[in-house]
Amino acid sequence: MKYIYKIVLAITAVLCFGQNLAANEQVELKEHFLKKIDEIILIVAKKEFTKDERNGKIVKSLTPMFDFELMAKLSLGNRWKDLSDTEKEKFVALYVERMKQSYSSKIDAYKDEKVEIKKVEQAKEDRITLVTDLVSKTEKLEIAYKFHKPKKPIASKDSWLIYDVEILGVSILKTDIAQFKEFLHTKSMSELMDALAKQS
Amino acid sequence: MLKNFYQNYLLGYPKIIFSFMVVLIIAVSLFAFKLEIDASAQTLLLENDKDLEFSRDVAKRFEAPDFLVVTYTVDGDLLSQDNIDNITLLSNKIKKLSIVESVTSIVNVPLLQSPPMPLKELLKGIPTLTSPDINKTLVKEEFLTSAIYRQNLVSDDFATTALMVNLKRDEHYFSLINNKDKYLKLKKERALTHSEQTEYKNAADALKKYRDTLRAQNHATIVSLREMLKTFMQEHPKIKLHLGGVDMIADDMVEFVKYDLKTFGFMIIVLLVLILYILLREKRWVAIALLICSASLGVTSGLLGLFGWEITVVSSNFISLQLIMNMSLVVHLIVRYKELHEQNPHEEQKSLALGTVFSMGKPSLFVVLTTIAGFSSLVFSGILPVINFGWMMSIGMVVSLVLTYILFPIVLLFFKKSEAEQRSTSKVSFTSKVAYIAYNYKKTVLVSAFLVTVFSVSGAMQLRVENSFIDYFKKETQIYQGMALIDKKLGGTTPLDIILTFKQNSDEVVAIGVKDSKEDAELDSFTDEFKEQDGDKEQYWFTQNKMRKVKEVHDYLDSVDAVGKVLSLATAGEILQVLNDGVEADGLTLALMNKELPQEYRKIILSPYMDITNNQVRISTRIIDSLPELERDALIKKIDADLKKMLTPKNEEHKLSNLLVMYNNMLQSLFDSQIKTIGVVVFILFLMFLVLFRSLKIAVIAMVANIIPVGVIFGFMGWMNIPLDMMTITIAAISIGIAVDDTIHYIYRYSMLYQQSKDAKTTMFQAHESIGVAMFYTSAIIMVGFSVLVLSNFLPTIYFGLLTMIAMFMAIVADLMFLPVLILIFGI
Repeated sequence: MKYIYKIVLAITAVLCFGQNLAANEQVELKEHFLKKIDEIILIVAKKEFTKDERNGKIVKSLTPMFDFELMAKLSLGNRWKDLSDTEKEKFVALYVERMKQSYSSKIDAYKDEKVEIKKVEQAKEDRITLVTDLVSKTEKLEIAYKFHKPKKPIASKDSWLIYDVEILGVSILKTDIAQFKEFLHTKSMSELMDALAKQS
Repeated sequence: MLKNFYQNYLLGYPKIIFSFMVVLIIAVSLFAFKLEIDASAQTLLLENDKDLEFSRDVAKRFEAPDFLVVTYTVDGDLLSQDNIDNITLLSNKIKKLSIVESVTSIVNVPLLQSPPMPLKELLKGIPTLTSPDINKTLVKEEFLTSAIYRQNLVSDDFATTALMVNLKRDEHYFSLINNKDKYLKLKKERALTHSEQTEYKNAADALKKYRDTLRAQNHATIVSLREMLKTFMQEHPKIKLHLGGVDMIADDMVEFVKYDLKTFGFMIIVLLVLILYILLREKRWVAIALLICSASLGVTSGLLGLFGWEITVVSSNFISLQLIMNMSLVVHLIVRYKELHEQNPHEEQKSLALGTVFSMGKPSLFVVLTTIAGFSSLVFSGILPVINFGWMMSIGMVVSLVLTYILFPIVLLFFKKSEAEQRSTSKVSFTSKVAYIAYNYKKTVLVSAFLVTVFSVSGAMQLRVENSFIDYFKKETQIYQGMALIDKKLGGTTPLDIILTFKQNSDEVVAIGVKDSKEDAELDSFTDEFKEQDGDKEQYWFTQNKMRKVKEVHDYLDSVDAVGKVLSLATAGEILQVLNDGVEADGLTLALMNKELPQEYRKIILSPYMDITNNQVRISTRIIDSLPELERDALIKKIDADLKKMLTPKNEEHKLSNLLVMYNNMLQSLFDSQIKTIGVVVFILFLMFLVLFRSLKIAVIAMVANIIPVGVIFGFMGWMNIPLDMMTITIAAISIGIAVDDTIHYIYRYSMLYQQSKDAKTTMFQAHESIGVAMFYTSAIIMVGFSVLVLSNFLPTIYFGLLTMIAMFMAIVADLMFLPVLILIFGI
């Protein structure tokens, strides 16, 4: 769990460059990603920050790279369409908050690992997957970052945005989809929101 | 006509007939070698029990193997290098046994908290006790606190550890069971065709044959395992080893029953011979009685072998019973012969023999018929071993009657007529004294009968129906100590599983074609990507929702006193939580654990507790059998009811499974079939009395005189806290069978004598003097014979001996004291 989030942090950082990617999108995305990772590592290395300050900075740095809103919508599957506008808004807010909370709590587990990009896959024009290895002294951990490019750029966000992360083939989003689907099978939407509020 | 047959043929050519009978008896008896004793508890599991089918299915799907437990107790440090080496050595030895799949011990289990580290680190390589640089203080701490190991692999005092000997799952055996069940199911739906019937028979035969081989193999393994442990203890005097586990208990029970059948069967015969000689004072009577009883037993056993009926736990008392009944028939004939001889000292031997046979024929026939009526009620029980027991007894009684009435008069002819015993007039027989008491103390007798009834009813109300294997063995035996150790310190004995089924999402498919906004259009472009794919179900099956439900049920079971160790996915969840700084594992962690845990540890922590394909989890528990006053049926009902409250039927279903449930089903159906049919038996007996004596009054008197002694058995069991279990439950049918015999003999003789004298008092004294003596002899012989059973180490054998003695004693007291008083009061 912890390693996943470390990686997520790193990736997010890279994405800040977003605006100018055009011709060689893949190369640029790669560079942007790695830079973001470096940025995060710098923040982690600075001992003068308190834990809260440090986590706050990391979250702030990563947020533009993630499409939390999309993740929130996708995590609900077909149920999303049934929600009222207020419910949609409330759910997205809770989901985003939960995501941020969740990975800031994992930052401590980050140690001397390095991120190496193994390959770049582009299945469609607006989708790129960066397959990376989180390399520690003894082993490698494969983490894949899935980016999409929204048709209309979103204000204060990068042009390429992460919508899913797969650790050793396990997708964060699919995990959420499975969790929520099962939860909603036995309980109501408002109960799910209560549970999310509790978690964050 | 029958008299002619006897006169002209049977007694006309005694030598020819006798030789023919000897050949016939030997020929049939030879089949007795085919008779199998299968006293294992499994034979009693109801073959058509849905719970049995379910349990087998569960064992298969959850990869939960049968296992034996070896306990290893030592005074010093359990984790010392010496002990580690010894456990490794012992495990390696045990692993060589052919039926053993693997041995799990403190030496090879994964250590997840020594020291605690992030899951990611742990997955790289999980340490064990033999890993280099392992910190033993932490290991000890982990064993004593870990959800999975505490009170399971090690005892709380850290002096005892368990080696779990996992047995190989025999696929061939299960495929044979399935093959047989296929036809059984078909048979329920429709009549089988001829070829199907043949196939069904073949399937059943193949299963039986293989099962026998398997059982022999298992037994041989347990024997060699015991031997191995014994040698190991001799080589390492500081180490104490015990063998436990349900398979061992089942095997041991068979051995105890077999041993008792052999040892005590022989001792009973020796004692019978002795007491027969003491009472009848002539070797020839002993020889005749022994000859006839052995012939009957031989022929009956031969017939059973021929039919392929096995002696099971229920019918293990069958040999003793037939011996009792047959002995009673012969002793009555002997006493009658002596009476006739005394009355007509100059009569020919042949005519004395005829007279004996014909005067006793009718009551003996009715004795046999009533006994058959009593036992044949078992045929309607629906439980195969019980049905077979009913048939066995019925056949046994017929064989006894026929052989006794053919052999007794013939053999008599081979002996010269002895001098008629001239009883000195001054010598008053014991039964006459009893007659005197009955005649002069009617009120006392009635009051005593009333008090006995009160004792019986109050005792019977405390009667428990309970199967407790641990209570079958005396406390000082090795086997008891081993079982108690596992039971109390290592998490309990009899397994009980709770299977939770999470119901599938039925509303998954929702129309997604309607694109009513741009936003939805964009979302839909992801639909394909996040559609459920092959393998997704497995990968993302673990959810917090499921884990919480499992934990809820797990914690509930843990809170039940009688439940020992509880293991489930919640155990893995708890360990993960410890590794995760006390935070509940989220969906992603669970999914990662599911995917990445190495197979060898998966087998210990995950596989036995989940079946993703069927959306089920298994919560495995063991019941603490040595807990006094444990009520298994009530416990099962309570757990079932509590779970019902805890779960929503729309979302989750639960089902109880495994041995506790099956043994309980078996016991309850035994209880139903034996105790509840007592009413039917009594009614049938009443009808038979009515036919025999042609008087409602006598029939009622006879019933009352029978019910009281039978009631005492239940009263005694209740007061002595002896539960009705699968071994003692047959005592009901047995005691009725025993009690009825004397009543019939007495009333029959009484009415015969009454017709001559027309005086109640004289008749009663005459009856006591004649048939009373035979009744007393029979009872005394059987009581002394069965007293030897109390020497057994197997409590069910002791109970059987004790209860038979009480039944005999009460029957004779009721028939010589209470019955005559009732007849004197109400007339005949």
